[in-house]
Amino acid sequence: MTVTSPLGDEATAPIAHPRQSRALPVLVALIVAAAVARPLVDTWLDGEALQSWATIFVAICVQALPFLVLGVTVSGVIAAYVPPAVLARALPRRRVLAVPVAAAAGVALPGCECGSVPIAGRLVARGVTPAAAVTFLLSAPAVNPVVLVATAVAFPGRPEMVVARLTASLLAACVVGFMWIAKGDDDWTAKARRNERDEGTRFGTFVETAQHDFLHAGGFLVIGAATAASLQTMVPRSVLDRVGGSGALGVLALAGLAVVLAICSEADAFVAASLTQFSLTARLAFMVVGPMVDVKLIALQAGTFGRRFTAFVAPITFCVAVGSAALVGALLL
Amino acid sequence: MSREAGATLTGVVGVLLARLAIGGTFRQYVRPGMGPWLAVAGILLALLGAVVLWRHRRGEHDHSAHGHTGERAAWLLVAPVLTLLLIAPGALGSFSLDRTGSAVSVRSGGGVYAKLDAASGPHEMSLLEFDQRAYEGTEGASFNGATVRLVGFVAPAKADGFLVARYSIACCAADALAATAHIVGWDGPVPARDTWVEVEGTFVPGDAANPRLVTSSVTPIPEPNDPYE
Repeated sequence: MTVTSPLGDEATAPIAHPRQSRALPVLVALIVAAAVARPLVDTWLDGEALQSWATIFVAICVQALPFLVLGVTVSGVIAAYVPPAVLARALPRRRVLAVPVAAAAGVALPGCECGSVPIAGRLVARGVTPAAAVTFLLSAPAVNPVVLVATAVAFPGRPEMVVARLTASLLAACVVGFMWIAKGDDDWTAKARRNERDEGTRFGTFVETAQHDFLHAGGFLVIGAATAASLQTMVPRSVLDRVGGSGALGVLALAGLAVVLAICSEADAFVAASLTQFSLTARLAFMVVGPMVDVKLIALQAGTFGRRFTAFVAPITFCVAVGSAALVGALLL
Repeated sequence: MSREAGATLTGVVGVLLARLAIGGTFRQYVRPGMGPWLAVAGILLALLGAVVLWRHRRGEHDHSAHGHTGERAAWLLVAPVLTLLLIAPGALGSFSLDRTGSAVSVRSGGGVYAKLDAASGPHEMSLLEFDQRAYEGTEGASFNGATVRLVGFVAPAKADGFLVARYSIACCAADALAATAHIVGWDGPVPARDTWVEVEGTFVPGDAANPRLVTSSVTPIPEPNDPYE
């Protein structure tokens, strides 16, 4: 979903004729009108549901922005300062070996899912094989030290939860990577690959890449945040209590909840810890699925790689993540 | 979206983010510890927008990079900007109580609290700690009959009395979990919903969903600087 803009694409508005684009005046008018109109609309914007929706919507955006800034900065640095040859040498040439290496590399990115999407997109643009980029995309938000420490804090006295999360997430990311090699089509990432630019100077490339990736990923982040806020405002959490219990239904219920809640991977362990009516395996599924597939991520991935990419990766990832959590949960928890 | 508009929007988002961070309003949405990161991110975005605008004015740009679709998605970034300017939503209140996870539970782990001194007091504690002591598995024995002081907002209770509630957040308001106390035995006026109050009383065990507090005083207070625990 994108907003249809009456304003032509940039290509039709070359900068030699800036007057052809009305985007800036429209933007300025919108923001000024909003600032001026606030007292007038204050009364009818006072509905409790709207207030609550807006709080969650703004909260998700505000929480995600620093990570998005980190992500687009790294993306810009890769585009401007890391030659493709270096990236190519960093990964094994055989894709089957590149996948586990990429999964392990996810450990090094301290952040949550909003940062990893632009980085994975940039890796593809710089010639990294999509199978490895997908694996990195899925593993980085789930297995980095910040998230693992948060998990340990949320489940005091249960270090096996941290081990289970790390194992199940790495396993799921690798399996999806292998499935990409088997069934995926590298052309599905063409949208990310077209996204190369050369500004002549390295600083120019860095700045323009970061700017482009921020606007792009930011727009799709907003779709995801709005979806998650709507679901949270409209669906009472008590619906879950009716599902409740242990067993396969509980695992699927929490995996589904992870998709619709779209909680940052650094916070999901605390929510999982509070869902005490569910089994530990179900809560593990919540923490394995959430950083890999949720409404916010689906929007971000579709925006970065294209719809066909997401149509392939999101459902497969959901099934693989649930299976991986169930397996690891049965063995470790 | 044109280059100029995109750079301006980036700058506006950055300035708003930095303003939230420096003004302190960000505490209504995310953890207090996020403040410095929000400020840094906001300043970086503002700088990024400024640099791109400056480069645009000087005509520095790779024209071949044009022509891909999807930048229209950037318009969506106007939505949170307008939401902040128009609605300026406050912290979550009683409306969301049955929409977030309720009853923070420590039954899965957590330490054992030391007994309170019943002679001194009232003992100030968070609503989360109140619930944790109540749910500890010892029927709230650690309260030892001592008077406690809690701060939260007023919410309606299903039975008699009312609730005092406060959210804990781990990252942002989207992951808020509520801790509540059921106020019983209070004969005075009941404050309006979502009023912030300071209450004093003693814990009584019971099988109610929310731990009970036999309350001796209810004092309305302004909303705390950090509305979450």
